[in-house]
Amino acid sequence: MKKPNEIKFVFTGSVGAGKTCAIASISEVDPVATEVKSSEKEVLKHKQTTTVAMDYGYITLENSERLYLYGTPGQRRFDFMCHILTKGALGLIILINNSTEDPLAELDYYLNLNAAFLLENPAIIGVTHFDISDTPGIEDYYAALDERGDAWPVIRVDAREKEDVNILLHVLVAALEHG
Amino acid sequence: MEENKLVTLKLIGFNQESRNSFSAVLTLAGRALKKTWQITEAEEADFFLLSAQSSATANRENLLKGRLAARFLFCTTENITQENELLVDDNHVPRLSVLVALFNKISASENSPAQPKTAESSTQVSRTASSSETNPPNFFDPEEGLLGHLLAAKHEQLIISLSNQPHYPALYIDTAKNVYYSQNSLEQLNPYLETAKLLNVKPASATEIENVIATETLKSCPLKDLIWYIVIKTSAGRLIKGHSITSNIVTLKGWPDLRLFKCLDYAKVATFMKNNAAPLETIAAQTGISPAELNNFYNACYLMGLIEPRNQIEINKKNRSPEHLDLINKIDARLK
Repeated sequence: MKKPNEIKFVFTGSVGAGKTCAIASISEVDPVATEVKSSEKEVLKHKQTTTVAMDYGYITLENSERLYLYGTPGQRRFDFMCHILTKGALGLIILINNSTEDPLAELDYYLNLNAAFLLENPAIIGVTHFDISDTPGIEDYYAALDERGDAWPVIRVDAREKEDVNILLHVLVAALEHG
Repeated sequence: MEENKLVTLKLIGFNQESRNSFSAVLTLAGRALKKTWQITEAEEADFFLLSAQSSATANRENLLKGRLAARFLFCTTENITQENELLVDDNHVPRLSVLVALFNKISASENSPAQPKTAESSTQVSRTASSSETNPPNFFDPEEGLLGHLLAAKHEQLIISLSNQPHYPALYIDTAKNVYYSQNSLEQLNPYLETAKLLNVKPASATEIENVIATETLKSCPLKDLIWYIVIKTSAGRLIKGHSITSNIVTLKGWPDLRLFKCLDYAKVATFMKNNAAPLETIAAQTGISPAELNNFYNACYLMGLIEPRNQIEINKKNRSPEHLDLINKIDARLK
C-alpha cells in the first residue's frame, strides 16, 4: 500500500500547455507554484512566467488521504525533475499545447522522456489551446500514437476549466483499473 | 423479382476486415433499399460482388463463365466507368448513397434473377443476417427514425422539421461536410427522436443550406456528435440488430471522443475494450457496467466504426491488489 503522501498524479508537457492552470483548477488549495518571470525567448512566445521547479496541489480523499498533483517545469533544461516527480506516481497527464510549432513532436518528446515510467503506468494526453489552433486534429494525435505503438486516450481540454481537468483524471483512473 | 423478397449477395475476394466493413454498410443501407439484401457464404447467390483486387484481375472472365453477366458487380477505388461498378474506399467501404442507388437499380432490373432461389437454401450467412439467435425481438434498429435518415441519406443536404410543431427550429444536415446546423443544443433536439412519423425530411441544395446559415444564427456541429447522441438516447438498452452479446468477440480499435454525450460514464468500459477482446457479456461482467448501458455504448461505437471483431477472446488482466483497487475506488469517488 502506498503511503498517503505518495498518492500522486503528475502533469507534464510543453511550456504554456497549461500544467499550472490545470492543477490550480482542480486543487483544493491554492497550488504552490514556483513560477518566475521568464527570460527565455522561446518561453516568452507563450507566456510571461514559467515554472522552474514544480507545481503542487492536492485533493482530499476518504480518511483524509490526499491525492497530490504535481506539475513538471516546461523548460527542457529542467527535464530531470520529471523523473524525480514521476517516481511512485500512479499516472501521467501529458498536456500538449496545440498552438506550438510542432505539437506532435512535443508529444513524441514527452512520451520518450517518460518511456520507462509508461512501461508500468498509464498516461492520458490532453490537448490544449485548440481554440487558437485546431491543427493537428485529435485524429492526427491518434495516428502519431499508433505509429509508436501507443494506445493512450487523447482528449481536447481547456486547462482552465475544472470540468475538463476532471475528465482527464477520470479517464486516467479508468486506465488504472482496466488499462 | 418480387417486392420484399430476400436478395442474396456473395462477396468475392474480400478479406475479413473489408467483409465486416461492407456488411456494416449494407446493414445501415437496409432502410433505403427496396429489397432485403443478405450476404451469403453459399456457392450460388443472386448477385456477386468482386473486391477491387478481384475486379482488376483476369479472374473476372472465369467467374462470369456460364453465369448471367448482369449478376456481377465490381468494386472500384477509382472512377466508375461501367454501370455495374461500385465505388469504394481502400477498405471496401462504399458511400451509402452510392450503394443504395446501385443495389436498387440492379434489383429492379429485368436482367436480375427472376426469383432469388438461393436465399432459402443458403445455410451460412454473415453475421449481419437476421436470425432468432442474433436478432432477439427487442433489438435496436439504426434504420429507424432520425438516425435512419442520417445514415442512409440519399441526398447530401437535408432539411428536417417536425410536422406537429411547424415552428420548432429545423435541423439542417450536410452529409458531404459531415456537419449539421441547428440553433438548438443536442438536448433540445429530443423532439426529433420521439417518433419517426413526425419527421418531415426533404432534400435541399447546398445553396439553400448556405442561405439559411447566412440568415439565421445556426451552430455548425459535427454530424458524428448528433449520431452518437441519438444512438445513446434511443438504444434504450437494446443491442443493435444482428449482433449478439455471447458470440461476437469484439475490441475497440480506436477511442471514442470521450467528450461526447455520456461518454465519460463509459471511460472504464472503453479502457477495458481497448485493451481486451471479449464478448459483450464478458465485458459487462469484468467492468461491472449494466448490460443495457453496455449495449448503448456498443451500438454507438459500432456505428462510429470503432468496433473490431476478433476470432479469439483475449483478456490482458493485470493483477491488482485489493489495496490498489480500494485506492482507485476512492479517487474515482472523489472525482465524481
